[in-house]
Amino acid sequence: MNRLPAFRGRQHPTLVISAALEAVSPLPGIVKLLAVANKDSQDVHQVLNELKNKFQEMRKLISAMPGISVSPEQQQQQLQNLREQVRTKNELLQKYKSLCMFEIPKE
Amino acid sequence: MAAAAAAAGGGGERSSTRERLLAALEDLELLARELIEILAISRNQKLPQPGEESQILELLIQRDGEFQELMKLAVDQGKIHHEMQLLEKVVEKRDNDIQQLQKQLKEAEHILATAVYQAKEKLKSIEKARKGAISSEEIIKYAHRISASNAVCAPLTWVPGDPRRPYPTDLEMRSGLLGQMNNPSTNGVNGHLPGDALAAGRLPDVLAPQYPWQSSDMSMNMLPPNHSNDFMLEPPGHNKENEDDVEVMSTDSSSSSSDSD
Repeated sequence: MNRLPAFRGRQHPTLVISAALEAVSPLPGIVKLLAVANKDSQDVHQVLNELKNKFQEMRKLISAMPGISVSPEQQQQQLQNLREQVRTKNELLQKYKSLCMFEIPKE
Repeated sequence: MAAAAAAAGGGGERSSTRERLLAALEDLELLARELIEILAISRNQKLPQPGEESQILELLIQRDGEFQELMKLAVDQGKIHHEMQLLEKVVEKRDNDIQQLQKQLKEAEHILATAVYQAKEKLKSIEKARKGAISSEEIIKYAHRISASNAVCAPLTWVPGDPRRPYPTDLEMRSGLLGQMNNPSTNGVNGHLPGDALAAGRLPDVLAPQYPWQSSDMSMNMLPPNHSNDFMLEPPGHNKENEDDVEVMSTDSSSSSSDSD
């Protein structure tokens, strides 16, 4: 059974999880199941349990992954909005910091 | 089953990546169960069914491919999410900076508004003073009249024992209008209160009370006679001293001429 790699603290959690998920696929478990299908029922039960646990772990991991509660298009829109906010607020601050407040209007 | 799996796996663009991943996982699990059931049936019945098994296996492989693609997409979204978190922190800091700037501008506005208001009040006062302007000559004249009564400063020749006072004495009151009203036989020619004349700043020469110690020279009427001269009950021989007092008080005759008009 494929084990999930240990968490390496220096890497971003998303990257660690992504590496784990990329390495995990239900297909190897299913292939193993096919391999033991004609053997003893005890081996089959064991493989079935492993496959079942793997599916549960993958569900937990998918639920814990950040940033996937929205579609990619929505996320891009949110990212653009945030960048626009930062740009606008930087411009506003720069404008008022460099503005001369004591210009006498010509009457 | 395959059509349902395909429909569920389509996902659409509106559903989130998590929903699509879970749907793909669900499909894989269903396909795996289906395969296990077929294997169990074929094992029990010892009847090979390769067609159905291969079909399920193909679907499994296809669905696994889609699952792997979705996983890659989820990883990319995770990176973008991290960048968005950093941007949110920057936005929060900018918001704090803007709030701080707003507070400072508000304070500056308050200070400037107060300064402008006070300046406007001062300008109003200046304008009001300009409208009611009085010549300095008149003010100096008035000041002389007030000070001539020795109310603000004792005469230079005043010594302890001098009966002169900065207020009207009993004798002066009796020789004034009120005293004349009660004693019509007195030799007063004035019908006005010396105090009124003093308040008005002038005392007409004609109505000025005649006191023994006053100078008989009415031409020196620069100041109210009863206040400009020495009030001591002395013989007329001291008039010169009184004149000296007058001269000390008013060195410029033109500046303290009485307005006896």
